[in-house]
Amino acid sequence: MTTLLFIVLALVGLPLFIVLGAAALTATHEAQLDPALLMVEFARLAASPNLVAIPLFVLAGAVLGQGGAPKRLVRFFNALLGWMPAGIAWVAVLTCMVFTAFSGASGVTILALGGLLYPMLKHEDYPDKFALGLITSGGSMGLLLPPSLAVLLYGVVAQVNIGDLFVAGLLPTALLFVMVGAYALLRGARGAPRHHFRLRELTLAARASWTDLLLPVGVIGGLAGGFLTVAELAACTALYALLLETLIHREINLKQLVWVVHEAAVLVGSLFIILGLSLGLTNLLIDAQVPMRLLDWVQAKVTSPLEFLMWMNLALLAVGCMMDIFSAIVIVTPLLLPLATHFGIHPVHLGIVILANLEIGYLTPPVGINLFLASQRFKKPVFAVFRATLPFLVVLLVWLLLLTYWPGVSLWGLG
Amino acid sequence: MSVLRACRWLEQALTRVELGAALLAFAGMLALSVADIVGRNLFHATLPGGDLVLRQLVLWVALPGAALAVAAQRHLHLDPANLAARPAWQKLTAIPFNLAAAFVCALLTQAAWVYWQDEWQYQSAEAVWLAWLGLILPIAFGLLALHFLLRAVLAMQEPDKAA
Repeated sequence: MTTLLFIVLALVGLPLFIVLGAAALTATHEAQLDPALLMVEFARLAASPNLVAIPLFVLAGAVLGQGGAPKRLVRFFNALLGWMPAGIAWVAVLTCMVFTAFSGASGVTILALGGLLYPMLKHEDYPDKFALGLITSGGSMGLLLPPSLAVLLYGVVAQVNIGDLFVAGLLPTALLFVMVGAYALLRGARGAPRHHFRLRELTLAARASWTDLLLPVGVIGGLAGGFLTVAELAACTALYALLLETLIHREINLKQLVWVVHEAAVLVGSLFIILGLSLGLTNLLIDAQVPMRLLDWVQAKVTSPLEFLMWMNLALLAVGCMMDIFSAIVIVTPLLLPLATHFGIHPVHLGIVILANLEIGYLTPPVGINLFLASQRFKKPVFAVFRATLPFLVVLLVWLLLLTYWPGVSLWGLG
Repeated sequence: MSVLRACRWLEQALTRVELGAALLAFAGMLALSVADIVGRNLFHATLPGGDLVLRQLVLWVALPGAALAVAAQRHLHLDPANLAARPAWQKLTAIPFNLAAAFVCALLTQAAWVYWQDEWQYQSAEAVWLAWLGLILPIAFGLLALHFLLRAVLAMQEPDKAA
């Protein structure tokens, strides 16, 4: 009965951390435990070396979002890929992917890049519906690329090596890039004009944006080469982004910098308070043997790993419809991890499948945040945006099936 | 000064302090990380306790950030029916939701205070500064409770703006 009340309170819009806090306090009361135990778990946020990376990467993303990086990246990718058939569509997907990885998929991609890419697609005679769908769905497509916040969070919650997760996400992202690009080639770019490759424009664009392009290269190189820890890499990225936007390009002044810190702190705060309280709640659930009972129940109903993965996908798609990605990772991962281990699913593969599911959740009503952001950004009704994203949703679902039943795509780098 | 103005003034003052704390914590994280990288690679030595402080600073960014998120009304919530977009619903729920949230945060403040007192009591003399840094837990939950309370009072005073 109490559980039902908390679920209802969460569904009617009470902040999630309040619902989790109230549930955890009630659980400690019922188990006759000291509520201070919740704070023991909360303080563990200061025990994980990898967690240091999250605020710093968020800061880097906020700085880049506020600065001129989106414009410079669009110009460069346009000069590099704009000559190809459906060139501007490839440009849109690639720019969105790179930017989402840095912005933490907090919706900044649609807000920062939408205003640049949407008119470009329309100018090239792409159908309005296609352009709208591409930008809206592109807002979450780089979620598996380093240094995505969602990957870091899954790594921390599941205690999986973050470097392995980032390497595992590279091929699935490349696959998605090809699939969406191919769809654009077949459907979107029918009337779009072709452009000539212009070396001079590429040189000029590269000169303007090479400092931005060094960032993803540095992050991937640093992780793959093992020169720096994830936290050190995050600090270098944040410092580099700050230097770039305040001193080199001078896009951010001191007043704007305070605003950027405010935005980064709000995002980190709203995320970490849920993480801290859910650590306490998860511990109480483990004490009450909830995951074990869930495992028994699933074992009785599900017989094979393939069947488990199918049910897991359906459940996660439903979760993605109801919950934002960060809350979902924190709440769902501790429940799914023991089940996946039982069925012999690698935690890295599990992570990629969970994140791919939740990536799709950005586009599914009623809580598909990208739908609302795009609706606001492009002044279109939410239903029209949803209809425009449907073909991309189908592409994403096919991609999800490939990732789910072909573990090699995720586990290729693990040897 | 009217209650309304006093509440607004207090909320703004709290927001400035919290933003200042987050700003300093971010700066500290960056400085410590750089000192750690440089020290380890060039001098084969790191700042004593630097790693511990760095990890504590995560809480000093996150918890003031959580308090800022209350003032900015940006905490994560589910709301699949998009009730938040309906002014009538917002008007109806602003006071009870904020009061309930303040109550939960007050209980969490009490839990955090008990936890901090235990930490303080059992911390060794050399590491007592770590317990001081841990004081952010009860302070921040207290601030969260205060923010929600202020939001509830503001909603009472100007119900139309709460919607």
